[in-house]
This record gives sequence, C-alpha cells and structure tokens, in this order.
Amino acid sequence: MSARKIGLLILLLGFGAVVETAWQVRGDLRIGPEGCRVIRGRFYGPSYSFEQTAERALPAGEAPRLEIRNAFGGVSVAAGAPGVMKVKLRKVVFLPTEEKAKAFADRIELRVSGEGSLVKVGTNREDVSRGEEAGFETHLEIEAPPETVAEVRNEHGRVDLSGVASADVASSFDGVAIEKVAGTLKLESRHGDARASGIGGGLEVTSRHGRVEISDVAGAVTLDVEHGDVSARTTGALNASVKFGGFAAERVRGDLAVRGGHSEVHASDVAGRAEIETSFAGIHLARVGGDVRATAQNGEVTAEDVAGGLFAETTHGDVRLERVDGPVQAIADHGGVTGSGLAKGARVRTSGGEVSLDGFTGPVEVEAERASVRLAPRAAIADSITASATHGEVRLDVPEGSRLDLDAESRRGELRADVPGLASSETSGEPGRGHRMAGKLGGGGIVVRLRADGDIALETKPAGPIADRPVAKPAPATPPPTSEAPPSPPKPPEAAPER
Amino acid sequence: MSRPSFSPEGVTLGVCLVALGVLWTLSNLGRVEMLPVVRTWWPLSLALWGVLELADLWVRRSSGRS
Repeated sequence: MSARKIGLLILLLGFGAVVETAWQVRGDLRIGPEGCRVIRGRFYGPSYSFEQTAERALPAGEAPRLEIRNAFGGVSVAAGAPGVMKVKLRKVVFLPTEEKAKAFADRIELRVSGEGSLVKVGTNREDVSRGEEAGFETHLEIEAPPETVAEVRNEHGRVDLSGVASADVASSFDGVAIEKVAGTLKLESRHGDARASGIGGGLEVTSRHGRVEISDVAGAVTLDVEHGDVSARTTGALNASVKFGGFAAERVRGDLAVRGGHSEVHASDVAGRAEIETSFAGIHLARVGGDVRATAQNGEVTAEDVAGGLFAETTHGDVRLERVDGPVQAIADHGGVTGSGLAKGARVRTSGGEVSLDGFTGPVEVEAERASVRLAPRAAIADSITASATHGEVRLDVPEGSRLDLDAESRRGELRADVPGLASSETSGEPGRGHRMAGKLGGGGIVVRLRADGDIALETKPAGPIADRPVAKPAPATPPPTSEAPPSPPKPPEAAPER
Repeated sequence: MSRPSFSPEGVTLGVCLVALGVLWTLSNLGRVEMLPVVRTWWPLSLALWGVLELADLWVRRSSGRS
C-alpha cells in the first residue's frame, strides 16, 4: 500500500474519530481556568462542600405547591412535617484550596420565593456560572408536606422524589427515581434512567436515551420511550410507544397497547385486551384475558393462554399459538403458523411456511402457499375444515367419532385415506394426475374440503381433549401499596380502569 | 501510450472535500445541523474509497487482459 493511501486512511479515520468524540461530549465539555472541568455533565478535581438551609411556613388548608429549578446537582424531595417546607442547599465547589472554594461558595445563594402555598426553590447559579471561574454543583434537599404538588426541572443531576401528592418532573443527563406518589405523575427524562414505583394515580412517562422501569401504578400508564428498554410491572391500563428498545410488561390490570419499532415486546398477565405492533423484532404474549391483536413486521408472534380471540400477522416470522379460547386469524408472509389448543377454530394464511394445527375445535380454514399443512384436531371433527396447499402436502388426522363429508383432491400427488368406515362415493383421476376423492364418514354432516398440489393423507386417530390443560388466567395484579402513601391525598384525575 | 492515471484516493479526497464544504456552507446558512449529519454519514467516505479501489482494480485487470 502506498504512503498516499496510508495517509488518506489515517486522515479519514482520524476525522471520524474526531467527529465521534465531538458527538460524545457535545454540550458537555468546557475548559476553565483550572483545566478540564466538565466531561459528560460531571466536574472533576478537588472539591469542598458548604451548606445553606432555609425554612418556609405554609398556610393551613391549602395544598402546597413546590417548584424546583436546578442544574449540575441532585434534587431530593422527601415527605416531611405538615405546614412547613424545609430546604437545604449543598454547594460543592471544585477549586484547589478551601479558602478559594469558600469565597466562591459564598457567592452561590439559595433562593426560596413564592407566595402563599407556592414555594419556588432554586439558586443563582446562572449568575455565578456566567464568569466560568470554577466548576460547582448545587444539590437541593427538600422536605415537603405530604400534600405537596411538586414540579421539578433539573439537568445534569439525579432526581429522587417520594411521598408527595402528585409530581411533574423533567430531568436530563442523569437518573430519576420516584416512589410513593399518591396521585398522578408526569415524568420526562432524557439521557438518564427513569424509575417510578408506588404511584397512586395515572403515570405519563416520556423518555429518550435511557431505561424506564415502572412498578405498582394504580392508574393508567402512558409511555413514550425511544432508545431505551422499558420494564413495567403491576400497572393499570398501559399504552406505550417504544422505539429502539425492548418492552416487557407484567400484570397489567387493564388493556395493553404497544406501538413498537425495532422493539421486542414481551407481555404477560394482561387482564384486558392486548394490541401490539412492532417491527424487526418479535411479540411474545402469555396469559391475556381479552382479545389479542399482534402485528410484527420482520418478527415472530408467540402467544399462549389467550382467553379471547386472536389476530396475528407477521412478515418474515412465524406465528406460534398455544391455548386460545377465542377465534384465531393468523397471517404469515414468509413464515409458518403453529397452533395448539385452539377452541374456536382458525383462519390461517401463510406463504413460504408450514401450517401445523394440533388440537382444535371450531371451523378451520387454511391456505398455504409453497408450504404444507398438517391438521390434527384431536377432538372429533364437529365443524368444517378447509385446507389448501400450493406446492405442498395436506395431512389430516381424523379423530374417532368424526362425521364428515370429504372432498379431497391432490393435483400432482397421491391421495391416501387410512380411515376405517369412510364410504367413498366418487373417485377420479390417479396418483400424480388430479387424484380426487369424495365420501362420507359416520353418515356425514361436516364438510371437509382438502386441496393440495402434493400428497393428501388422512389417518384415523383416537379422540381426546384439544389441549393438555385449559387456558390459564392472568395472574391478579395486586394494587400498589397505599399504606405508606401520604394521608388525605387529592383524588387522582385518572382512575384505574379496572375490568 | 500510457493510460491516464486514475487515483481512487484522489477522487475520494476530492469528493469528501466537496461534501464537507457544501455541508459546512449549509450549516452556516442554518439549513442543516452539521455534527449529526457528519457523524451519520462520514463512514461513507470509506465505502466510496473502497468502491473506487475495486473499480480501479477491475479496470486495470480488464485493460491488462486486452
């Protein structure tokens, strides 16, 4: 390789490295007089802490409102005594000597303002940081009465909040942990993980670039998450939009709706309906109390123990179903369909993937392109069965006690019927050339129509139950703990939609 | 008579400079945000260079055979 080429390669890779580094530290890198002060939202070097406190008495009979504004430091709100708001500011100054740090810290002020029941908490950090003489963090610790309605805005600092009536929190570049909120919670998080638990009302979460973990939410939940995994446990009705991250939900008391993109979706113990769509990943459901509608582009759908009906559509992925009590409709483009324990029949259409139904009752209609069909009802056939396979075979197990009118045709294969008692009324063609058979079993009554380019085979099997066990019900979602919630909470605006 | 020389790295460098200049101008005009665009697309310069190297190799082999 010539020196010219090596030079260009180094130039391009160096350019790429510079761009990637600039992308990683964008907005977070500043060089001050003491050297590198901030990388990814944190200060480094020797530091000294100083504290300042304030207290504010609150008027009786009115729910306190708390507004907090902060940056480059944590915010902590915890339940305190009624009638008073206690605020502590911890100032951490990054300077080489305590003397210099103390002099700088004296310029940082805690500001508590507002009138009546409104308390605004902040600092003068914007005025102080304008000179860029030193790096400093402002950590706010607040004790608020349990009836407090809190609003928090913070950047580059962790937010911990608990024991208030309701909250509206926006945080970026660090984590958020919120628990024991009696009413509603609105949470916006960017570039940090978010955790919320023990929410007595509704929950609304918007998150970008961070993991979201929620649990024990009494009310309805709305999630809008991109670039982060979602974990939800024991919630009310859940409506989620998730992109570029996995989604897992357990114990949803109401309906579940998920619109995913590049998101693997797992959900179990859903009391209501489940309506899921995603792409480039699969959908996996277990124990759903209502209907299911699952659409996966470039992904598979698996579902077990569904009490209602089910609609599943995939491209480039299989559909696998176990124990569905309602009617099933499954469409798989470039994928197969496998089902067992289907209590109310199925309409199945596939291309390029096998169809195998093992244990079913109710009408069944199967259409397979470039694939074979295998049907094993297990119970005596009591509803019509229609199956067609282009470029494939059809196999049907005939349980004992079935009564059917058979109409079968193998266009280019052989037709075999190993069914004692089947009275053939019409046979035409020959194996390989339109081999057709019509007949009755047990006096007839149920239409069974089979068409295949390949072989068609019928075989008698002993009758039995269609599944090894009945459809499992969703596990009950226990309500969130309310014993530790603040007393006399305001009525949450969004009640949990119980089914 | 010798074939006029074709330099893949020269073309790559030229295209990259043109692209960077256009992008920088658009950024100054407020039409695009430069860093995200450059961060997304810069690896294409390597791909472009690779394609040109392969094309050069193919042309040289073809002309050598004839």
